[in-house]
Amino acid sequence: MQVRKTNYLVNATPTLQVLTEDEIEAIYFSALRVLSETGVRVYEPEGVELAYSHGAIVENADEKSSLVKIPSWMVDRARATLPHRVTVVGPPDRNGKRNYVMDLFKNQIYYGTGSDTPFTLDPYTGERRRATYKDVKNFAKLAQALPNIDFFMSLGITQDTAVGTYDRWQYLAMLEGTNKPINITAVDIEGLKDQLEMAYIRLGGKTEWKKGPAFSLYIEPVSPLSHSEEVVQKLLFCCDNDIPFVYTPCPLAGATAPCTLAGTAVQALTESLFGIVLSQLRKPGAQVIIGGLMSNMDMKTSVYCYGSPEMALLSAAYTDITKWLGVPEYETAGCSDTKLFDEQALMEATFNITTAGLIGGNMIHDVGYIEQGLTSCPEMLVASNEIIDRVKRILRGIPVTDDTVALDVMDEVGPGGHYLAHDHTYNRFKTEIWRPTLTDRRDYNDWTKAGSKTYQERVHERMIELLEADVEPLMDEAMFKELHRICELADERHKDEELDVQMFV
Amino acid sequence: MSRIFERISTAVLEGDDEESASLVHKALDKGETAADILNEGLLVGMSEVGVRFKAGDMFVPEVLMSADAMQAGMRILRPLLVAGGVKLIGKVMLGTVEGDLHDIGKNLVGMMCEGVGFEVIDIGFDVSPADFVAAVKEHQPDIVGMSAMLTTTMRAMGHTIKALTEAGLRDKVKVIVGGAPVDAAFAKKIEADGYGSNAPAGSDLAKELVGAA
Amino acid sequence: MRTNYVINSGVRFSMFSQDQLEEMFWGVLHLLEYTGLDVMHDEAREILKGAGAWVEGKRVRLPSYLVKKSLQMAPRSFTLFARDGNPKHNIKIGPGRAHFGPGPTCTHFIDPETMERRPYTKADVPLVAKMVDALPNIDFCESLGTVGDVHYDLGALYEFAGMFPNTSKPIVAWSYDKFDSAGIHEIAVAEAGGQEAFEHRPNYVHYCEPLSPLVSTFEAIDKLIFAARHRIPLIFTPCPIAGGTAPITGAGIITQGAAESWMGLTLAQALQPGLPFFMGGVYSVMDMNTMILAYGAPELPLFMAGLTELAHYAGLPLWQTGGCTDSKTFDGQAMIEGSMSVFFSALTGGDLCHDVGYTESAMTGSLFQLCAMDEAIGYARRITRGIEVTDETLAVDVIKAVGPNGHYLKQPQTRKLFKTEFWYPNLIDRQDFESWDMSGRLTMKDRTIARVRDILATHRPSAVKPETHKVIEKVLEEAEDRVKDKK
Repeated sequence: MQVRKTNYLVNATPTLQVLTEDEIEAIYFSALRVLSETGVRVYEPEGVELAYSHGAIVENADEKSSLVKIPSWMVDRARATLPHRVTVVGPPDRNGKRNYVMDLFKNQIYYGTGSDTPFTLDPYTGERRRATYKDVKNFAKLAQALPNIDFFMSLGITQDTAVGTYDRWQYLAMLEGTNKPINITAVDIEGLKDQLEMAYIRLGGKTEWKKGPAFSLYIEPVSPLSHSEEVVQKLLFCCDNDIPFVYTPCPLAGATAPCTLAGTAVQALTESLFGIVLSQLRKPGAQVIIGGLMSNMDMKTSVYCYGSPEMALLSAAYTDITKWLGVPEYETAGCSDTKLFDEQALMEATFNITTAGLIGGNMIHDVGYIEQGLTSCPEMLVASNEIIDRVKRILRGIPVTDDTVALDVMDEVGPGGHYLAHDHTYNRFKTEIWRPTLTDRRDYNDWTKAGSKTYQERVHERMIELLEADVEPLMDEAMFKELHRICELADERHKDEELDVQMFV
Repeated sequence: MSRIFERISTAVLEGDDEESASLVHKALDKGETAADILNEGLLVGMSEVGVRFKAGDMFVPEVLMSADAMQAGMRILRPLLVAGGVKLIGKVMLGTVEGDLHDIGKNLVGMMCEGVGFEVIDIGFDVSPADFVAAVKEHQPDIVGMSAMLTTTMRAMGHTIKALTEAGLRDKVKVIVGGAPVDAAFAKKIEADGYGSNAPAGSDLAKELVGAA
Repeated sequence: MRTNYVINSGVRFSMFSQDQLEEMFWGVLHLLEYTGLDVMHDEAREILKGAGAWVEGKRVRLPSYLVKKSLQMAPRSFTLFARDGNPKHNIKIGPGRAHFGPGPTCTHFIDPETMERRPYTKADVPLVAKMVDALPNIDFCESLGTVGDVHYDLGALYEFAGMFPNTSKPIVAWSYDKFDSAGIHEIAVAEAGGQEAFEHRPNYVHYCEPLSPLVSTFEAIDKLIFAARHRIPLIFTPCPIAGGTAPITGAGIITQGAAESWMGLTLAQALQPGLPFFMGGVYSVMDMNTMILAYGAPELPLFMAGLTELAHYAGLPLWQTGGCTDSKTFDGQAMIEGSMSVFFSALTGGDLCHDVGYTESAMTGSLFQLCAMDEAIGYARRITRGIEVTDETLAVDVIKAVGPNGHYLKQPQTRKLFKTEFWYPNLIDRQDFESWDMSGRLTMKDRTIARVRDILATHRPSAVKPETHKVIEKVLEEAEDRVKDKK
């Protein structure tokens, strides 16, 4: 008789932990010390006033900024109302169904792209050039087609549109290509307002937004410990308008953060905790995601490493911290410091994608980045989709049951037999064994006969195939025109700020 | 080359600022001229630092320690050089443009420029075109360096150059630009005098523009 | 100061819960007790019977107490020694430590000069050993090939004779039969200074491979007996294929493979109590389209990670697998597959991870793959080293000293720690675009080729004793003499 096992704990997936709970606490309480003893600089009077009126100490004010010190009890109070779960839901398809949900909470993983690279590698020539509207739309189309890409960021700044209003155009380009959840960037509050209006139109009203916001906003305080006017304004606007936001410094160990990885985590957490405190003061329950990109300066070249092991490790450690805090994490993976789509790109992406998946970082961004985040690469995106698929196979783990241990099957087959024809094999070979799409497992002769193509060549071909595939438009002409109009109006309002020269094209 | 110069250049190479200052004093006591101490001691050390850094044999913190050692010597020599009418390599004024708080790149360029002997005036971050103009009037630098981290703030580089032109200062300074989204093509478009892709490239460019390369 | 403070030394990875491990462990014992293995060696069956096994024809079943006793006798921690006494080249086997090296017996090799795929020859052996000796993250040596240009019985012997003088890192030696094994041992003992000296400081490990499913072949057992009698640390490692020669499920293949290894363990401990013994091997899936044993499948690191935990639960070190690929060329696939498997090896602390440098599903050895994987192992080791959390590294005072908008480039802490806190790559390029553009736009492949050729041209391994050279010559002469009439 088969008996269900009792008193039996199962690892349903592999587990990874960088920090123990004691270490997490050590980092957290250090961050509280920094927040209350060193303080952060804030460049937005409304934010300073908000913190001050609820108990913060404000010192060293100059004409632009103040030093704000947050006592630890204010953090405790903010954590009491901080949501543990944040969701972003993509816009509807032609049938009105919103199919893509990003449900962020402890140990949930979603992979997505990065945003706003000034450069991109041309999909046809491989040449590095400024990114355009068309590139963003193309990347969105690729992300839409790739099953392991769960959310989208632009993978390029639209630079053939006006610079001061690029954000609206960029959002439009993204909406043209995908209806997965999007993490946007905004030039300023006005840009954010315009994009929110565009989202309302795309969703069919503010109520739909309330049911599930269609985008989150990327907000980046500057390390060390500095919160600009624009950053704080965006934060406050997001709180007021139910927009989830990612509050994510980019500390650089050894340059804009301590050289030690633990110290960098302390500083990053201090920076994020300030955002958490401010947001919960403005609106208890405001939806915050913290993270994000933390890495080291390569001391030989002075660049910000996107592909280093320290990046993968720190992001994983920070995920441990956010799990303990109960706030969704903005993880980083799928990125590299290479300048072209080569072996290095894939080695670095393999390590950081695997690490992020194992640790369970929630919103894992920057898939498709190369060159320290300055250039996007369409092949990198397509290849990462397959790497993520591999990692997900591993994350399914090894179930241990009477059926999988298969003692009876082994007894039946016996020494010297084989399992090829056994039902135990037949019933499972399609699900148990991972099926590659870009990876080649032919023998040498077959591979040679098929043209001796390298992995990079196969990925390129697949990318072009996806790019050139016929797809139905995601929205109708009338809606597109309405959204387009908002962008044009913004251009009209801001035309005086532009330079006389065409900046990029 | 006298042995004291060799020791000074070694102190610079090893990033020992106390040693380099005390050796500069010692050399002055022995009757060496400030110009010789600079050219045959401090700068020889820094030029070796540059060679080693480019070859990947030295690291950024070490280069900055060397730059500190160079500066320690320069602080002693500068008044003497000025009094003696020796022409210094020049003055670089640096700032991050309006709307941009990212200044680690600018700071690095400043430290690298100090390392090759420039006097460096750092006017901070989020500097408006008007403030750039005012600072140029006040400090009269040979070179103005601007940094931007974002494509939106890159525009401010163009605005600042325009402001310098309108104030009649454009031909009195060389303007160099840098920062993650900036490239040589953009620098050319806004009619800057040069672009550096990293901090050492920035200090090399500054040297080139004052004819010291 | 803070007390009751528990920290991680390195990151913490786990495949199974204790309950799952206990169940798998007893599953293996159950399989050995009720199903058993066919042992194709008369003497071995006698020895096992004497030790308490139940023998019925060729079938040998092991009562669980006997396996548990054997597991208890085998050490979890011991040292493999560099032949030249260089402590940096010693390998300390023990909990939490992963080591890496190439694999054996590829029929083909990527020519380091022409980059062409061609049969592996005698002349390639020293090149592989030299690379192993030079690469910082490669810890032990195998040859990456089967020598094709000598008498077909003598390939293994020529391999060892070619490796031994060209690296002082410990070698893992395989052989065709016990005659090879004897020749190999004679060379190693000569360098060590006699059998007794060798037993105190073993400088190589003997490798044998039983057959899946559940067969202890004559050759594997014959070599095992030789190794055990001479107290040579032993690897006994099957190569089961999920869905082919083993159950398709992860738990099934691990259970079967472990049983195959533990039959060898029981025999080895009966002959030589306390003999260092590695279980292992290569556990992967058969690609259902091309019918190859996939060396780059995600199931390989998955199964191997599970197996490693079972081995450590049972108190044995593991012969891990990683750094290998199904790619036919040096490309992105080779990097993805190789990096992923070395990463999981490092995460599990699988004690000796072999097959680093395999391409084309173990058909072709490549120094370029080996060299690139050295980089991947360095990368993995930086991650698995984890994050040190102490008052110093928390850096609260440093953050205070720098303050908002400052920078850390000149901080004393940065100056003190920047070399050790961060990993510096050899093949990965981190230049900015312009610098990379001006320095010739090299790809990682270009840089790997250059590094391999540079090491081959410049690296000088430490020499063996002059008398060892004579022993090598004598052993090869005798072997040639032994096989001269054999076609």
